[in-house]
Amino acid sequence: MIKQTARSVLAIYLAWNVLEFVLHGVILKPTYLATTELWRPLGEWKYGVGQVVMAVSAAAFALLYVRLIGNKCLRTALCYGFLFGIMGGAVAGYGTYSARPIPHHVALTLFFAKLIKMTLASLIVGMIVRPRVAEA
Amino acid sequence: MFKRSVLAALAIFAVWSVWEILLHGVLLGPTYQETAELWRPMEEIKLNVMHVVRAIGTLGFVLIYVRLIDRKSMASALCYGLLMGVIFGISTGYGSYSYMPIPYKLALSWFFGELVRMLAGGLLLGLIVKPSSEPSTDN
Repeated sequence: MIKQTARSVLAIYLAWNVLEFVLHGVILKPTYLATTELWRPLGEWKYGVGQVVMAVSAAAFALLYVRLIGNKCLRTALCYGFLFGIMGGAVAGYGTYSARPIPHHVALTLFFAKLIKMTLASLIVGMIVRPRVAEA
Repeated sequence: MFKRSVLAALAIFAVWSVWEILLHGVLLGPTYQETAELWRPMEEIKLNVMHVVRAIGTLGFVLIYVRLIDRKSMASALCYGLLMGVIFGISTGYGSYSYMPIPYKLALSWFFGELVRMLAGGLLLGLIVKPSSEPSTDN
């Protein structure tokens, strides 16, 4: 189970890196350039901090599934990721939108990005982490 | 279980509302004023959107615990709150810090703010939502 957990953390971390690059580096880049006053200048982004955030989040997300979620199967995992994604997406997108002067399409994009991120993570953890009875 | 879940959701929503007023309205108020250019002016803050976000967060938090976590105990609920707090705290605090020009103390405050919020949510779940095998007062 430890090896499965470690493999899923690594896979989630890598998948999130790709998604974050596509989201922030491609899809939202024109918006960031149009609202530069709200963000750090590109040269001052703290990429190292961002990597630690992703690694810790991936580990905690997988650990929560492994240690606490019962009836481990792909369906349960996807349900976990979807609910998490709705929660996280609402906070990341519309929580930010309520307090910061970002355009609505950025809030919507952040919402769906988080939903996709979490659902993908749950797909990964659901495929890699199997119930103990299935290991025998 | 359904009534307990509804009760837990209401309690968590109420406690999270109070905590957010305390944290963002009182404790961090001066820091927000120092960085006013990053935020909507007070009269443009979308309070209704905030309430909806909190309601969705509450429902998701309760549903994951009630529907997906099978061993319901105070220890499980606190562990759940802790892990949720770490994920939301690090993402809200340090994730934002990595690309937003906020002061470090704000990142740290958001991190601990989310950790406390989720731990309180876990504590309420542990107190209110009991295992199905235990005698219930629902009916």
